Amino acid sequence: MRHPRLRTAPIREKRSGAIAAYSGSVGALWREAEQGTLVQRVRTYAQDHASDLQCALDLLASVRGLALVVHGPAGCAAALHRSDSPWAVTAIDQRDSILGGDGKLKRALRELHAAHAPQAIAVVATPVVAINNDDVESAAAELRAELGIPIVPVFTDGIRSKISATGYDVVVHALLQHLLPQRPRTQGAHLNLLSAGLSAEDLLGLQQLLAEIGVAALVFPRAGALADLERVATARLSVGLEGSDSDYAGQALQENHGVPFLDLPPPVGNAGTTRWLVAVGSATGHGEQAALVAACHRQRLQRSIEALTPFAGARVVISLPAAQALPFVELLAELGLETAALVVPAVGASEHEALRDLAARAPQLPLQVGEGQAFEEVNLLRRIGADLYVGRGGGSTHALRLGIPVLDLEHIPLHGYTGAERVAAAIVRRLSNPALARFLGAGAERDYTASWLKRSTSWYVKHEVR
Amino acid sequence: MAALHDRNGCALQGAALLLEAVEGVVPVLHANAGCSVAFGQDGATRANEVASTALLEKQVVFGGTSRLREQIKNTFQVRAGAVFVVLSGCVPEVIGDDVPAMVKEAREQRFPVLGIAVPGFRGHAWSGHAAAAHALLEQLPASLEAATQPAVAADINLLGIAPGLDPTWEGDLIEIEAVLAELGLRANRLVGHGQGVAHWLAAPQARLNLVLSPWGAEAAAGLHRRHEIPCVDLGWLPVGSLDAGALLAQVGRALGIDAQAVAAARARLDARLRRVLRGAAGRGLLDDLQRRAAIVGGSAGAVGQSRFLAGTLGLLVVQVVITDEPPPERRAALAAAVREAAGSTAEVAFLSSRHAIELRLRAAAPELIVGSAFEEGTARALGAAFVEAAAPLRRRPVLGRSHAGVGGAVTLLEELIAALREPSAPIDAPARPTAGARAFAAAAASHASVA
Repeated sequence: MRHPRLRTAPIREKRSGAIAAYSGSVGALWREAEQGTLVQRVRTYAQDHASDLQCALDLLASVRGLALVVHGPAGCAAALHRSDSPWAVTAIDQRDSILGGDGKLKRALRELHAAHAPQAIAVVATPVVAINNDDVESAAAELRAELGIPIVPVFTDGIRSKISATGYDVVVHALLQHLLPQRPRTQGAHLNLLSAGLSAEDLLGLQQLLAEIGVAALVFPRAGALADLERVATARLSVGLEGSDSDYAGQALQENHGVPFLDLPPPVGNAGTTRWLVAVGSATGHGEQAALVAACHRQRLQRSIEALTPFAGARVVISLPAAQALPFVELLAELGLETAALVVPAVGASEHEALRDLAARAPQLPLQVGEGQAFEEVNLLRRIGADLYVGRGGGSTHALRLGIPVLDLEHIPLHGYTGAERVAAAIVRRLSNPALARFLGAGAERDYTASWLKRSTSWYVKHEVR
Repeated sequence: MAALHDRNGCALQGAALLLEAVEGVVPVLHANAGCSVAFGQDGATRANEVASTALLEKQVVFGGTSRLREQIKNTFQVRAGAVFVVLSGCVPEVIGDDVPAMVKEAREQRFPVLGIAVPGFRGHAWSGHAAAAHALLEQLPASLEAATQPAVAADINLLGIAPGLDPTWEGDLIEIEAVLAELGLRANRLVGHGQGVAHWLAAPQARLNLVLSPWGAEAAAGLHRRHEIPCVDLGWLPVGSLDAGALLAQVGRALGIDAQAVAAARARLDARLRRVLRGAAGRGLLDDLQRRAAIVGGSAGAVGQSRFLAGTLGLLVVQVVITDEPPPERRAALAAAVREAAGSTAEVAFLSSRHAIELRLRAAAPELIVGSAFEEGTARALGAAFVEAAAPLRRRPVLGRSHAGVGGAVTLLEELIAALREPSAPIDAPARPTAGARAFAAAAASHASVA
């Protein structure tokens, strides 16, 4: 492990100085970053958002061969209701919350094993279990011996970090610690594509792109398979796709398993994809092929750009994880569109470089840092207006309510040449007929008070008192 | 009990789903972040913009009450609403936050606030719904400073249908409203479009409470205790004209309505459904309906649907699995209601674990399964037709449809006919149960309480 003796991963706030609350301009935030650290702020009014637990469950459920036991009250497993992975919840009650629920945990592990015969089981801890300091480790050790499969404790707690993506690091820490014993191996020819949140389709597209330059790639941890884990540790190289959301895995594989880590800005947009492809090509001795493949794809976006000509200058609000949001600005520019504002769940050290570049070009660009804080977005969107809102995964109705069409990237790949093309085509459709947004926008605002909508967007973002 | 693929969520989630379905009520979660995320998307009107204290380690160590005070005050500034309801989850209960003191303090400052303790470890989402409905009725009048005069006149409060947990809750309540209107009675739906604080304030003026699932009994008991409102406790949801008519008969007796008027209303409901069924039969759509059926779902839906399928359409209901873990004292009545329509050989089980349910269904080997997304795989493996009618849903989102009353029964029949037309050969080859699975089956059978 990167911190092999630690029980679990450090929180994002500590690991990369990440912040989860800010409301202002890109330039002002960069000035803070320039002085060393981003200032930790809190919200004195907040809306519910995912915690590390939901992020961890989402990621773990994408790993093939792994079953999940959520150790906590039944509601903590709600994020799994749409998952195809085998899972169980210990459903601890009030008595267990006082006296401990390890009996239920052991029973759930045995039942899940009997019913589904998984290759390994992750035990995911929850806030109640964390506060009561339930001995998950001992139960896991006992069942590991009894069932003969790896039992992986995942120490999520819902309360340590303001940043839900801490859950990604906690998962990576647990998987590498328990499923990837450190021993010398012979290196393979393949590389690892590291991601925590990309869609399977997005990852498949990048694997296909790398295949064009003759490089085979495994994915880890998102959409990975337990059966592939041995090979993850023998890769010739790991390539991070998501900044802060993939560099914990990259650094751990480098420091503890000797797999070199190449942390590149993600392949978003045509130019961004070419830079990425060429960099991966040169690092793997496939530089020439990469240059040739890039040249083949260079003109690909041309048709999309032409289709978007009638909408040139349309103003787009981007609400995506920082690793994708920052390069998305460049993709929009390639398409002749303008970025109206950025909304990101968190910003950390991995984003400093991109933040600096953006601050140089557009210092006044409004920037909101915060996950699921729609009340601030409504305030901002009413102020600045926009022609399109780009987000990912539900929760964009607040934009539609304001009459702004929404592009949800949940089911549309974003990365690579194909991603750029697909996004462009989807934008054309959204802008060609915004009837739905127009209809929904004609309704009255019922959720927020008039006084809040008149206030400064940053009203409830305050410096943290220590 | 630990559950493989639990479907019932936690108390805080059921309570939050109820409050979000009442216009003018703003829930304020006092909990760690994430408690309301990703639950109850089935037919719920979620805005995903739920106020929350999003408790952190600091508040766990030093107490979360000052954070709650700050959040209450600021929610009042940000969110438009008539009443603010603090829902406290597991963490503040474990660390011993004095939430009632905070609510009292806010009320003294003339904030319309009330508090409900719904820690997830105290019960599932259905129980959270029941607790929140009861608490809202009890506490609402006192939390509003000036006695708001209820502008709503209603005869019958509809209790027990849970937003987000019963996937077709809103359509179902509208159908029951239409059934009661046949007798000229005005229903107080309490939740959904157009239903707000005034409707909850008007509840004590109703002439009757109608309980449509075990989860409405607590609220009805409170209204009876305080306001002496009598109650028709059906305990499940009428589907089709026979049960809708039987409901009218019970309501008519309770309210002393002329028996002839009731009989005429029942005849109108029957005539409406008969017309549809005769038309369908004439087109040959009902020729092959008589499958061996299993129904899996919450008390309200599963009992009501099995009574309609067996009692009106003539399906052979062999297995009913009730998944919402109703209180033990109510189980016999639910099972009796199923057997009244489906015959004494119909098995009724109370199970919530997906795996235990799968084993039960495999043993029953039905040709049709009406259930949740969790049962679709089993249906495919058994080569059975599948209709999705319980939460969680995956196939067909609910935006307004109903499975209750006469209109909802027709919708259910349409879905049934469509499902029976689909090729139902196993798509995913069923995994043979392992020796462990068989051992577990035996264990699960011993845990299941079979009425």
